[in-house]
Amino acid sequence: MDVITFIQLLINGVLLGGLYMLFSTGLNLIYGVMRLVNYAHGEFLMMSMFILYWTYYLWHIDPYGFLPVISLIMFILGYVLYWTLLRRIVRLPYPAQIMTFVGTIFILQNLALWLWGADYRSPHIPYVYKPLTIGSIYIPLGRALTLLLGILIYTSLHLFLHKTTLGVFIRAVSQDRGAATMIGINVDKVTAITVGISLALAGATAALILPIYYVYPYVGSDFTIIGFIIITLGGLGNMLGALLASLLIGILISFAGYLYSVQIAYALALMVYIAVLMLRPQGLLGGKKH
Amino acid sequence: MLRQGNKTNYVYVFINIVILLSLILNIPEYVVHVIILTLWYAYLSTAWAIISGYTGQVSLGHSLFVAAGSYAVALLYHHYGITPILGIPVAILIACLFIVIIGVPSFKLGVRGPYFTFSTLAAAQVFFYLLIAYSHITGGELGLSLKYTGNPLYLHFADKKIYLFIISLLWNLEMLLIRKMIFRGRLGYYLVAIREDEDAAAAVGINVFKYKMIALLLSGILTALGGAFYTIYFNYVTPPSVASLQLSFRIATTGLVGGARSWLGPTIGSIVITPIMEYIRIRFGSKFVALPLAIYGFLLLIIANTAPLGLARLLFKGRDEIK
Repeated sequence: MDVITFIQLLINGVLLGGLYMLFSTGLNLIYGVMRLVNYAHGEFLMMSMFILYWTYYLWHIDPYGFLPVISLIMFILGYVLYWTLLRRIVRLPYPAQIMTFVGTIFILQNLALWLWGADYRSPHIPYVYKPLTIGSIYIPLGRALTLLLGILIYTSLHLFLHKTTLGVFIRAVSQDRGAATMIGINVDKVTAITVGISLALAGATAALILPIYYVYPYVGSDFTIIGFIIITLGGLGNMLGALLASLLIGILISFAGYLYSVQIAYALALMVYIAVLMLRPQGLLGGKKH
Repeated sequence: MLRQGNKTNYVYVFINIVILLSLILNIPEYVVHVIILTLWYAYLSTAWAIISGYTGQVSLGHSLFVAAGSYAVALLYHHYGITPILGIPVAILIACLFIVIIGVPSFKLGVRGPYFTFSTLAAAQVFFYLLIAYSHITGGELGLSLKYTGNPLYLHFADKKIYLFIISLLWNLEMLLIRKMIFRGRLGYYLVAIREDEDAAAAVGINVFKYKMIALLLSGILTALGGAFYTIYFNYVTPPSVASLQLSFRIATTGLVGGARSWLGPTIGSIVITPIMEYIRIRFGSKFVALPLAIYGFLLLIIANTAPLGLARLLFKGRDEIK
């Protein structure tokens, strides 16, 4: 492997890591406020990707431009979903929660399969493939745009969680639900908004992935699995840890995918997860053990 | 504990009478196939319930053990012509290896709840990807189509009813094992104690690690035997059919629908689900590929909200569970 390929793969890995980061933050937020692993998170990503694919295919609406709209749609969906479904699920025993999530996964995957078939679809937006060259390193414009927007979204989310009242409420509810209720935070409302934000992040991730990737009904499971690896490796609620873990997994998948195959890359990422769980069960950077 | 005259015992006997009748009477081959599948899922879900229901460590990766069993038998036969009779011990050994790989780190470190669920899911996915990646050995996504010899020494039988007999025997032995070892012994109490409160169980002197490992070993080995049966019956294995997330989900939800804490629950789950799914698949599956699992998804949502602890709890009011 020469230096150019190395740098190219590194850039791709960082980009992939960034996307995983964005997606897993949504998973982490729901877990934080509800202590509930949303096993169906990837399926919401998949549905958003299909919506974006068809809006581009039928009406030529740019996925990057449609990002705010899809995020808003997913936010509303998340908000409604909390009041109608998730609020009941939390009170169910863990096995019943699993039944509900597996049920949701089956419904969404098969809805997509029925509506759009099992084909791999990519929108092929012309400008996305325009090369940006720095020296002899080549970055497609779409990937650069994705990385840039990803950083932007992530930074604004970080600021929102730390500098606004609502953000502080969300963090308070994640830390201690009971104490948050006692100091007068409307926990139900904050949780509903958090679920909304979480799904909005899945929508935003979809808008960033779709131009450089492809969509098919089962695309979600891989993302859910990797998202869970990242929040576990990073230590729950630990933003820096999650960033480190996403970059690690992104770079690993990028290199292993190039050297061996995509399947081996995923298998390796999962093995790293199991190995880290054996050696450092509290995650890479420590933090609270659950 | 199970007393004489318990209502669940009658249901168990009734199921066996139905199996016996279908072995004796002249019924269409397709019905035999559906009964075999129903018993197969019942068998797998019951095995799954040992670790997930009684012990409370919910696994969503049991396809790992199914795949270990079915691929061990299939690979040995395909590449070396070794009869499944000799392949089965190898399948059990490989399943034990996987059980140690997952169980020891998870249980030593006290990985619980969603974390345990996820380690099992991750391990099963690793195996799924490896099966596809090493296609020169495993046949990749297309799987292995095994040669049918018709020789009983290779467990190839022309009559489907012999397979029905084998799977009903497996299922009955599993039931016997569970009743003798878990419901009539101390083991069951230990497992339930661990499920209800792990720290309290450890505090009263139960070796939590040891009993979780025993539960996972029982569960995994039984599941691997079920996998071996799949290969023997179908003579054809693919990663999606034996190693996929879908199968793990199916095994787990069949158990949950029926009631994972009950000894008969998973079987009831399979009796309710499998024939319906097969009927929808045959009737509408060719036109609407997505329909069976979509309907299954809705069914799961309804049952999770009306009978969160499964149908057995509604039928037997907990008399079929360890008290």
